[in-house]
Amino acid sequence: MTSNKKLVVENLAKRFGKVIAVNNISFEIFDGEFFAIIGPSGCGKTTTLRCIAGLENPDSGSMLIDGLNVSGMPTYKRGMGMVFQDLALFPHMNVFDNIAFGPRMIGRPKDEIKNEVDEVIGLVRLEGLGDRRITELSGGEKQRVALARSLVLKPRILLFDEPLGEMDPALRERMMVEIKDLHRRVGFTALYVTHDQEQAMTLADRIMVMNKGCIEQIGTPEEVYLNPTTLFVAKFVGTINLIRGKVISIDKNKKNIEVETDVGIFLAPMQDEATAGMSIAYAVRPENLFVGKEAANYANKIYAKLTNRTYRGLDTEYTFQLSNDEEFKALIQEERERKIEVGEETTLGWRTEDAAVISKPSVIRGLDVDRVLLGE
Amino acid sequence: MNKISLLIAVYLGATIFLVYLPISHLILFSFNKISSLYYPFNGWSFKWYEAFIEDPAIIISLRNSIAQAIITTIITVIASTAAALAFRRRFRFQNPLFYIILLGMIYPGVTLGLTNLIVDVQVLNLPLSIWTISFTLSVWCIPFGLIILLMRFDPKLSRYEEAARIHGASEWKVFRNVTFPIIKTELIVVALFAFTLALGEVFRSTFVSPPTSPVLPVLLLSTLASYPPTPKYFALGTVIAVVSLATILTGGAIMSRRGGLLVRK
Repeated sequence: MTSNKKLVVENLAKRFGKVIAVNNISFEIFDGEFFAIIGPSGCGKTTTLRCIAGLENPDSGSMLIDGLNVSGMPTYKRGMGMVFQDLALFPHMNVFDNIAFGPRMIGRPKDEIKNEVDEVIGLVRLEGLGDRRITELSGGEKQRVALARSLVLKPRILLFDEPLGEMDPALRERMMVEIKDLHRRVGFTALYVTHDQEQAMTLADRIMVMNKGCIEQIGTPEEVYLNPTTLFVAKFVGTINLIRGKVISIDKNKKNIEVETDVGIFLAPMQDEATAGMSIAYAVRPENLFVGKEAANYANKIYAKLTNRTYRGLDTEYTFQLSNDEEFKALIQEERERKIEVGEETTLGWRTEDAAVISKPSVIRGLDVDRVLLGE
Repeated sequence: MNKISLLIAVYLGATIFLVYLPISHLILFSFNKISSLYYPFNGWSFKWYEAFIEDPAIIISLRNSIAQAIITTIITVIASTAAALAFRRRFRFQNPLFYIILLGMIYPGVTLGLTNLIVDVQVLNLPLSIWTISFTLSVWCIPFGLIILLMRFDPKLSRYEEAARIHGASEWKVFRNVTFPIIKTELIVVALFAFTLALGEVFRSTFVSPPTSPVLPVLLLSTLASYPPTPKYFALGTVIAVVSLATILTGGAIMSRRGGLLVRK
């Protein structure tokens, strides 16, 4: 992956009537990068994608692909590929013609089209299926045709619009592996839009989290998961436990912050923006919690009552109720014997370095900590 | 079958029977050996069919009818397809425009014919011809076409067009390679529908029909008003009825193949 900038978006804005879908955003994608945009419904990620594709006309802003300004350029000249959520394979054509569509439209010579299509068919492992009608294909095969249809054109950017949305989990898993594998082998630049942060975490080199038309954070999956810059990101990416609190003191020697909440006083690693008296959200991820006797070993502890246990195969998710009636979740892997039963009270513990203090609710102005905690 | 269904079936059956009874009578007597409309039936003969083929007035007006129906069909298909494709998206004055187009269907036939006559002759100074008839009838047929298409268009059509555009197809190529092949069948349905409507139309065409070379319904109206009918007219009527029925049934069969009559599967 070189550091050439494949896509540069500057001050992109789009509104539909009174609704601002995309609120003046700017970002870059590098050549060969797998870039994901995630966010809740209505955050503007699909509109952003469609503006880059040329399917929507932005109100303002510029988009440069390979240095070329594509604003105002009609869709068919932008040299991109796209995999749609409903795939949109041409129903009146067979597999071969679907894939050959692009090359035929741009005027590739006939004999070369056959070679190029056969090559891509091999790449996505659809050999022998060239004659099939689209209706005769399985879900996975259709996905691969959609990928092939774009890849055969060697697109500048391969756009994905929630492609795995309408699949059962098993197929989705397999397709994610295939897409990741294809990306590794072919090295295309990908812009992948989804509301499913798991897909983004699995596939992407970098993730951009959007909320109400604005960018909350851009970073690698690790950065976004371990160091969320806003409460919104912390909540959206993975599961997280949050309590409202206030910073009591900052210990510069031990590099700790002391936080007071209505269920106890806890410690978190020091953060530059935190000042005494500041209203913050105290955060710790479920996988970092210890339950029961071993919780005693840790610096941070609370009492909680087990209200639910969900066995998920790889792990078990425990749901606890704290003394202020708020919920805490813990994730225990490979539970050998049951530690406690539903209804029992126990202690939860965690290390200071696994906690975080988040002061910024969201990049959206006018939202405070409480409102983001409530899920706005 | 429950009671209500039975009642409806009986009612429907009775209505169809009563409506088609006079027509069946005429069809039967078009094969009658002598020129009589009354029972008893004298025997089978094709001579009235030969008679109407040899009647120049009938043949000319039949030709006019068919010509006008074809032109109307072409205009209707092109206009209603363009409109249906456009109406998928939101645009300014979309609703008022839709109602104006629909007006063509609702406008009373006589009024439409008369106003067209006035506009053609006095305002535009056009001689009455097959073309004036066609344009008038198109105003009536286009809303039918528009509604049929809007209801039967594949909702994913816009999606396919987007996919085509992304993968290198300019607007015309999108239409030719994706849109048209997909909507082809619906266009045939509209064509069949428009043809049948235009062929049988009397009121609107009466006014804008050239007096010396009228279309068939007009000819029949004027002839039968003055002279007692000979069975050659029934022979003609039978032929037209059969052709119209065949056309409508073909259209219906095509539509049913992909779901119900008006709803796409």
